[in-house]
Amino acid sequence: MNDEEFEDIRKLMRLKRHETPGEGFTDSFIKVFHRRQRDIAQQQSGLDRFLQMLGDKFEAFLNPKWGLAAAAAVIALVAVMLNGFNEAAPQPAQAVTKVEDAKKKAEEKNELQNKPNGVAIPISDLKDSK
Amino acid sequence: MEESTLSAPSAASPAIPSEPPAGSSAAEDRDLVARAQNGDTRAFDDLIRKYTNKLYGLVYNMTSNREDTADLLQEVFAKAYRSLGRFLGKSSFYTWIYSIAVNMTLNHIKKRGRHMKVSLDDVDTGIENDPDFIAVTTAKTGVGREVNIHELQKRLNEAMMKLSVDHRTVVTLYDVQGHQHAEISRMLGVSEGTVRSRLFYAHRQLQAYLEDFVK
Repeated sequence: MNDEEFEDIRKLMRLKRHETPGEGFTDSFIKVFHRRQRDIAQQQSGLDRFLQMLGDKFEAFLNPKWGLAAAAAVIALVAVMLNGFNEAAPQPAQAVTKVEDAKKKAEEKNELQNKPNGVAIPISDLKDSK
Repeated sequence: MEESTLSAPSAASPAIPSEPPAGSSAAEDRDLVARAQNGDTRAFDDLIRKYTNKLYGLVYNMTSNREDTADLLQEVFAKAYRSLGRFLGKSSFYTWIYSIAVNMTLNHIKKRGRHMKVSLDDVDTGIENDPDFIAVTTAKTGVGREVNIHELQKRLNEAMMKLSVDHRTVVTLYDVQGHQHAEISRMLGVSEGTVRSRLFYAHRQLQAYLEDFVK
């Protein structure tokens, strides 16, 4: 991969330096630049300028390379979120057990509430039961 | 010069270089950039004046179309002007504006696809005294040979347009414009190895297209 191997080709390509836009190009270029900037400033609304600035700022993300990276990041994020959601949600078997547990607890609670709690039982009643 | 009617770009902290100055040119650029960031539109004109020809060569050699080049170059400087407030000097202004120009030209070429038209600049008369031209027109046997300059220009541009856009970019930056591998790597955001590899394959293709000139 050395330059000497392609020295003749490099000499040929260097000749392209002689293709030039001609004298006076830069001065007329600057005049056109000023005119265009003035026209843009007159025509653009505040919103246009804001959108232009936003476009300039995020242009890098329109590059396919960055686009792919962003897509990969979104996919990874969604995968992580789904994984986290699955872990947090109870499995069907666990859910049934939990419901049953809850029912049992409720029933026990009801039984306790129905029992006369600390109420004095008349002696006559005790005698009858004997 | 036409009176400047530009509004000042958004002011930002003056450029702080992260790399040592490469010479008076880099120092001059930093000064011009700082002044332009503070609203001195004449300083931006000086930057345009300084880089128009170099950037013209870059865009022209990538597109082989002079009208597209002039339009694209206007857009490059307009974008640089709008973004100047956000230029913090992490790279030199030179590398920064070259990167803008390369990216905008690549986008333009991708948009145009196969509809790119060739429209060539004139070749300056200095070419006849160029040692490279003399070497090309002198056969290796030492016997002079006739080379029509316009025919040569046409063939060189055809050969360039046959290259992939990535290969054309490195040939333009390295062979035509004389940038170093490290500079090109920074401008394109690829490794130096990639730059060297692209150059190798591009040179090999060019050698095949232009074999009658290099024999």
